[in-house]
Amino acid sequence: MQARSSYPSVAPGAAAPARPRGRLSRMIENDATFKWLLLVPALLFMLALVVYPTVFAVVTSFQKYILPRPASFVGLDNWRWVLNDVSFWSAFATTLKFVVIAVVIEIVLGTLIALFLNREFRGQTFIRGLCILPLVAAPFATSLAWRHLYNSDYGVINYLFQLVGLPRVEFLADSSIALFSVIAIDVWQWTPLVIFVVFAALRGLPKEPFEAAKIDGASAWFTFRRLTLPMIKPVLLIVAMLRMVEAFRVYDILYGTTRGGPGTSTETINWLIFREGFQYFDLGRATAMSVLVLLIVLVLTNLLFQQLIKAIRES
Amino acid sequence: MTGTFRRGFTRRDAWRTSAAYATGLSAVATFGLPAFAQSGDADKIVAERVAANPDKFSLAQIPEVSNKDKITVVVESGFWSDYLKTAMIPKFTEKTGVEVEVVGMSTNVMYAKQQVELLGDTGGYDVLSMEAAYVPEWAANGFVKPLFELATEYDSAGVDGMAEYLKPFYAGLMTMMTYEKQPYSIPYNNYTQGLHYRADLLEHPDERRAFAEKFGYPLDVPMTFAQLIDVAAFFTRKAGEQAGGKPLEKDLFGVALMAGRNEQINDEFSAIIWGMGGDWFRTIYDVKGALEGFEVTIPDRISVTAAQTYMELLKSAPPAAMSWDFPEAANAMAEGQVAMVPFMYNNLWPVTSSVETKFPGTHAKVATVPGGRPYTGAYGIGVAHNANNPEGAYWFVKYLTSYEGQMAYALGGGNPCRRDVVLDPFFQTPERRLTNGAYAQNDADTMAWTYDVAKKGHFTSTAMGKIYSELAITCAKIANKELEIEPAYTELAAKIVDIQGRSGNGKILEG
Repeated sequence: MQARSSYPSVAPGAAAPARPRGRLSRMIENDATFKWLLLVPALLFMLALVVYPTVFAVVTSFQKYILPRPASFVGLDNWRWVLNDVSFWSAFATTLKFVVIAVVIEIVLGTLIALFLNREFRGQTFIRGLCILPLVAAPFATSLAWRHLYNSDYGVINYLFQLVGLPRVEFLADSSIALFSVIAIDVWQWTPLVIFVVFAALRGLPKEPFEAAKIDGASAWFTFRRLTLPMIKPVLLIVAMLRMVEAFRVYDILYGTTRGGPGTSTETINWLIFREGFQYFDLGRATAMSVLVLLIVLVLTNLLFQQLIKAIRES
Repeated sequence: MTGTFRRGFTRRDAWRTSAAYATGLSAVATFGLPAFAQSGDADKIVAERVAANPDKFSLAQIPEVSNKDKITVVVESGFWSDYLKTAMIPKFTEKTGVEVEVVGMSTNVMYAKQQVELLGDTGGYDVLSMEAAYVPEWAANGFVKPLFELATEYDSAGVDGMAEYLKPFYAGLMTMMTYEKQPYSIPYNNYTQGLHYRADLLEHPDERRAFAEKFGYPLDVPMTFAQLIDVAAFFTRKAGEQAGGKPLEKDLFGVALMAGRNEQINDEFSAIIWGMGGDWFRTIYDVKGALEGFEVTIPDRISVTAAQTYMELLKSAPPAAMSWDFPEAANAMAEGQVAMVPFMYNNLWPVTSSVETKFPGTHAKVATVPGGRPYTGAYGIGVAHNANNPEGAYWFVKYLTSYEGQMAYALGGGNPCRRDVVLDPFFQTPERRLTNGAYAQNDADTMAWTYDVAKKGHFTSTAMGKIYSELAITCAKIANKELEIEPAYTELAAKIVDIQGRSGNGKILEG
């Protein structure tokens, strides 16, 4: 049965009538404009959720803006207050300590575990699956669980300590170790991220250089130092950058454990900003602190980024 | 003792507890207090008591409500929100035709969560829950509707009827709920502090004899801070030693304190400072009784001595107290870990007294805190300025705080704010002691505050929600020995001046 078309037929050999082309069609056909067209949704998204809030924060940092009262321009007052505030610099030092220790441990530990997982052994799929568990847990719920694991009276960790004859430790109540206890939670939660990123990088490495090194009789340490490490260095720098930015924002695990204490020994910048912004609703001061932290993080990220470019060029 | 924790905690307990917490029960243990549970026969008892008191405002007296829109109410999570949902709200909806959505919140997030909604003017909540410290702030910002205005609009009894309705509530607590002579909120949860102690220890003849020999005066419930320090030190003992005529299976400490980085450490410091006759900052009125401003009194000799007292007490507290809040402190007594919780909120009596059921032979009692000036306050409920259904919200607030509502609250172990409920003979029986046994002491201590609440910056400053946090931070710094007492107070005084100047209702007057 012959199908009948409802469209007007064109006689064979006759040229199709030229249709007027719209502006959009022309833009789509032009490579120069089409690439920008594709970027429009992302740019709008960035404009609304990144550029506008950042500009708003910078402007607000020069205002006295305590909700619900209206904002008024105060020049550099908030900045002066932040720079002279002892609590800010104390919290900044704590944050820096947290970031450096946590990120270094996570990178080193994560790389070592990834190297281990890169071998063939029985149960490797199961072990790799286990490693992902801390990543899927909500940080706040995790911190509550850790709070009780750390408990000096009924926590499992102290119980195990006592089994092997170690003294009881006040993980969260002793200000000299509370920060390290919180860092341990962060390490537990985020080392798996490093493991998986580095593991993926290791799997993607070419085999030839390693085979050549083996034939030449290179030791495992030499191979790691001179081959593996330089080849995965860009990945390590990327993951370090990601973790650094994330660690600067640490908040939830403090909320569930120390809440900044004992005293102010675990009070980080984000905790301070939260208090100023969402307890005192002093948006001027809170944004001045946020912008200052943003600038510091930008500088640190830039340093890592330069290293990353260098590493990519070298590799 | 194989498999036994050195301090009496078994291996199975340790694994079970941690596993339970690790699987998510931690949130319940942290924010919900298991000792609280509504009585199975609460409905029946409430109905009987309401019938026996026909003169009290009750559900039957709510007139036809013209606005039937659903209302959203914020209440503290736990037994109370559960009971509201299953018992009181269905009755209210049946009577008024107004549906009620309950948003349960733990008290430590109530301020921030509601404040965000109020600042955003979202109209998310019709009925607000508010702590005494932020009633003036919300009232001054126009976030809460004055009760008299609501009564004029929706209640045939009018302003006089509302004034009459509020009479059974503690006057001191009502002062906290009032701003510029207008009540904005009705209190329902009284958290005045008391000294919760183990009477089986403090009243034991052997202990009394030993104490008298050691300190040269008789052992009694401490009434002064010097006595408190002595008694606390006296009962701090190691596992294996005797206490109350029995060998201790685990270490015993004299006191439980809430020295963690939470606002409750301020309440302990405040009780000591106020008990010594001092202040953080006090309210100054002119001859006509109008607010003139505030005078910051720290650092003075009293506040410094108060901090030294706290540091002394810390020596007799479990080391973990440096991270404790009120649930942990109350549980420390429930678990037989301490002899006293000197500044415990009386609404946690059902928790502290549960030591009696866990350890037969123990006996819990409550007394006024040393110095006689416990931290006091209440949570209240009021109608949001942007309520979708202010009429429904008004009647809900009145119903919830009625004799019926407060009776139900008391039956679950809550600490009501109506004297007619607190003093109801039903709660004075031995059967009710473990649930409501702190009422008599709490009544005396709350009444003692009647005239002095208005003198404290704590209950009159519109910036107190913010200052409160700073007080706690300073106390925590002192407790943690991060700063010497005087410099810490000097820094705090500057912050009070700054916050009050930026966000407060009255100027800071030179002392």
